[in-house]
Amino acid sequence: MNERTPAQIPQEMLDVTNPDYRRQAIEAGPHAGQLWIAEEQDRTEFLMIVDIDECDPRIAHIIPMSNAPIEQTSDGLVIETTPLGMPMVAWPSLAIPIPIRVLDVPLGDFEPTVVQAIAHNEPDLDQRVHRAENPDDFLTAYAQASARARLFQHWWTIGKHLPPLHQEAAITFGVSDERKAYAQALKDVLGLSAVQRNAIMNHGMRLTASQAKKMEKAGFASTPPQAQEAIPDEYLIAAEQPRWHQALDDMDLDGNDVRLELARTAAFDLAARTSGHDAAAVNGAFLKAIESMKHGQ
Amino acid sequence: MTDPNAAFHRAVDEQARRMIELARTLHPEFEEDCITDPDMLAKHWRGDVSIRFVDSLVDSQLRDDAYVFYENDGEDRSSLNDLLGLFSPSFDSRHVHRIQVQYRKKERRDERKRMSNDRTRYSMRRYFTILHELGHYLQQTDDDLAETLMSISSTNYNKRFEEGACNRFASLSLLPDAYMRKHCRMLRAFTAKNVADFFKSDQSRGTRRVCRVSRQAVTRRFADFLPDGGYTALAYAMGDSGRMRIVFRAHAGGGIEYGPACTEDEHNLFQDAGRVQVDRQTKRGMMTMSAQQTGKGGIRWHIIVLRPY
Repeated sequence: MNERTPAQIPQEMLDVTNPDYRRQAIEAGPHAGQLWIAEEQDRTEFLMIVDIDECDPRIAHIIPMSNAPIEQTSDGLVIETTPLGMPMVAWPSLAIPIPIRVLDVPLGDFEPTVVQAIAHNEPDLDQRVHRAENPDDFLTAYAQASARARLFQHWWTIGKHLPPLHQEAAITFGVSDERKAYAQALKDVLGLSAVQRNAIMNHGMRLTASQAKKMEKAGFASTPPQAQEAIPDEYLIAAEQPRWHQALDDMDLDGNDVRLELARTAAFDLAARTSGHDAAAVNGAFLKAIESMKHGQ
Repeated sequence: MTDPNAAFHRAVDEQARRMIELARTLHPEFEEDCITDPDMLAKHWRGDVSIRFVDSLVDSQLRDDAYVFYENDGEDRSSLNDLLGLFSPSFDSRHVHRIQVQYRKKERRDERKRMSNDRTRYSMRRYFTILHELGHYLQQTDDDLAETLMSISSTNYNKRFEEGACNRFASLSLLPDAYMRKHCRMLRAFTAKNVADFFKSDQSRGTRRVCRVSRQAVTRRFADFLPDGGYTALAYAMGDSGRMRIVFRAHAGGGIEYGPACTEDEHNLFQDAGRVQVDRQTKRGMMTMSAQQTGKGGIRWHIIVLRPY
């Protein structure tokens, strides 16, 4: 087998596989015109982001791509100038919105004019974007394209089931008589101090078995009445960012609700509360939440 | 326009004012300490809560059942990795309630330089942080104040309420109504220049007022004295790009927007801004923008006031 020397690898590819680039791009989050590898349950695909959804930043409008020109079909485009420094195939007819949670590896940016040509499905010879052709074995190629389309559709379905945004709009400021009565009982029945009562009511501290028994005798449950909860949009959006992809994979937690759990933990369950208002404060809370979820495993 | 959160803002303000009453009852010298020398708070509140200044805030050694409050001052690009204040409540008599306020490297350097001076002047944010944390202490240890926290029907508002009341408590403690009225004769019809001048003069108000309050806190506090529909805002010029960024808009009713986009009126006013105050009649009212003030790191600050007609 001939081994490729580093000199034969396109410089563009070396640039976008550089760990520093990868770290920065993942931290910055996805944006229009970027090439990514999407991954979910060990299935991977190349794609170009056309746009991030205006109403829901957790969704990216993408066009599937491949780095194997042999897979081209006549409804695709062949792109000569790519961030990988090698030709790729794009299928604008398979454009679809998918959740950004499946984005795994950022691989650089296309030139804006190339993005335009791909997005509009219009060959542009000046930009070295031309119409693809059917290969000799076009049945295999179409079967591959069809499988690719099904995978992207599967990801689209995941995007359709993300928790709704704007949950907070349904919550209004008010007092709960039930919670008030329970807090009073913690004082009257158990003789707890204000700081102890607050820890139980608002910070998840649990009653001991004997305390729970006393409360039960007095006609109260062992946990306080649940307060209304609506995860703020900034936490729901932050939880979907590709930057947590690896950490959640490493935790080996299954289920669609891992990100929802992460958002909830960061927003409400952290022992630590921050009074910051910017993205850095939210990210700080997520780092703490991941740490806390890891320890809770 | 009716503020949908008006009831919330009113409740936060009421809670903060009850906190001040309680602080005065517990320590009659509280108000004087806040105005003249908040460093006395650590001494005077020693029997209630331990207030310490530390190099770094580390939570790894906390007991499992402890919960802590990390604060930043809401004014810097901070995160949980840049903690400034921390309140650790005690759940039993074997432990004490603790407030820790973090030094920053520069503050430590400055303090060493001042060791030989008669008076020490700490940073503005440090005073705000101490009082914010004292706010947590009061809300969580006083029966009545804690009852309000425990009765709130949603987790979202519970967190916001406690934090908001702490910030409001700090603001009202450092800039009490009486102090504002005494030192701001223009409170009935102030402009952005008056707010900027107040901030500047408050920095050099003689030896009695050791305490200093940040530009952010001063700007926010002035919003309390505007009629409904008015706001104050703090903004800074973004390099030489000819653009500015709004840090926050504080509304007369108590609401606050962090990092909002510039309105067209604000942007137009900024284009004319320079060494003197500029003003502009807008649909909503008279908008004024202070002359630029250069702060730490060469940041060029502007204060904006919108006074409705």
